[in-house]
Amino acid sequence: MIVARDLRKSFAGKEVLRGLNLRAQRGAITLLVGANGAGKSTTMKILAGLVKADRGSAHVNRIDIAHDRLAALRSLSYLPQSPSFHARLTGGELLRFYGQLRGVAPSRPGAMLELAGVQDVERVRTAALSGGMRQRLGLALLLLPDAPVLLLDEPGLSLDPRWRKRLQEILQSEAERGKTVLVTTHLIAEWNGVADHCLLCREGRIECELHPNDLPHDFEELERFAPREGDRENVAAV
Amino acid sequence: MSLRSDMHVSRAVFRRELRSVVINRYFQVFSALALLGGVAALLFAEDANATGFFILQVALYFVSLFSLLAGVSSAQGEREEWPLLLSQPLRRRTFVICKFFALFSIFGSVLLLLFVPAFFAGATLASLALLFSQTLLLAAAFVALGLACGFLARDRAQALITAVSAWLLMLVGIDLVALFAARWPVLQRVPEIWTACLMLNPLDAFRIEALFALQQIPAEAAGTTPLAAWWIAHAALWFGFIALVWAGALTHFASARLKQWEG
Repeated sequence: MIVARDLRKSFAGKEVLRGLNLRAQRGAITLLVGANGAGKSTTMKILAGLVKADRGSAHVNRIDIAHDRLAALRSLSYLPQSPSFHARLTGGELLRFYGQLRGVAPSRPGAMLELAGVQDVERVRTAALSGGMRQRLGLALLLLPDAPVLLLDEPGLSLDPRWRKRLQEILQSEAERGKTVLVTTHLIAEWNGVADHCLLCREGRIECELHPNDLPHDFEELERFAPREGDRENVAAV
Repeated sequence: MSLRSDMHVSRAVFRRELRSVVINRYFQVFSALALLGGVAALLFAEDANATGFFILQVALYFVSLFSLLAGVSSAQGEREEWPLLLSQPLRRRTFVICKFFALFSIFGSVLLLLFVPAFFAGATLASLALLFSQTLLLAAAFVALGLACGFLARDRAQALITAVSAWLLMLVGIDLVALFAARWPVLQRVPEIWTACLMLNPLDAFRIEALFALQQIPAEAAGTTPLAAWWIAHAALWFGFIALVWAGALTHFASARLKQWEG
């Protein structure tokens, strides 16, 4: 489970998060949607221990990330927006490194490469990989530690439609196994009926919860979306 | 974090760094130069003392420069991977320290390419062992400087410019400034200032120590001031101390910089 309370963060005097509250349930996929600069990626980075919040608290699996960063990070796995890797290492070397770092069984890296359909990159240097292959290698790395909390920042942007669908299936099966999955995305319509919750982030806050089976068809529609008073009260309760 | 967990994290980072260094071009060029230097010392040095001087020059210019570049490359090479890397349960300080030790170990191994042929050129084992350990310490200080510049800078170009500028400053800059400033009568009365500047610079400390050791100059010959006399009498000890201080302080600085990184 992920719980963020009153998160505030400014960069160079510009307030990016203005008291963001968020809760992502165990065994569910929660989407975080919103325009550029709404604070989605900053929220993800705070949860992944990459950025420190100016105020507020973030708990991952009941562990406060500000107080015990390493313990919190052990229970999560994060896939950044455009995953980049050491250019001279091969896919296999990279997976083995992260596997050793997370203490996983030696057979798991190979299995994850297969799951993400990138077993061919085992001996290929990551500099030679396309954007889509890099994303899939990132997916293999995300699933490698079998962490109870999965954070994905704009996954699937470089993936073809078939692999975007496959990504959703994988995340659904991970959620069914009891994991907490939090995803930020711009490709809202594709998640219609896939996610369990969808939170609309605007100006550094969660403005309302959208119905996961009735998501806006495109980004313009999302921008025009005006929450009703009840929706706001629900978020206040979160 | 448990000790066991810390150990396997350190082992993973250490192995990755070894692999990255082996395929690093700076390191490959340095290995070739070290081998060429070793063979050249074997073939062309006229006596054991000349071999020592030859190695001293290689160490002074190439070891310091390439260990610096390897440090910069190691810090900057995976910068784009930091969001993924630093979201792992890994202490940032452990990451930097493992990088340092991996680079240090591999430089130590490659330096054998330079020193082993020199042994067959007739240099004594004791003098070579001393020079080898001092060259290793020099490499440690410059690997740490490279890491500090790499983690300090925003990109690879800025890191390289900062690192090479620092190297030039230490190689010739401080000496030139001292030379010009020595003409100023006020400063001529306090020669300890210049001695201290040279003592604090690991390249000068290495140069002075190695030259005095190779030439077998008695300490009294250079003892124009009490500080200079003390330095020359304890040159090897002082160089070891100052190289370790630089290596430790710069590694600490590099890990502090990485700890501040947000992105």
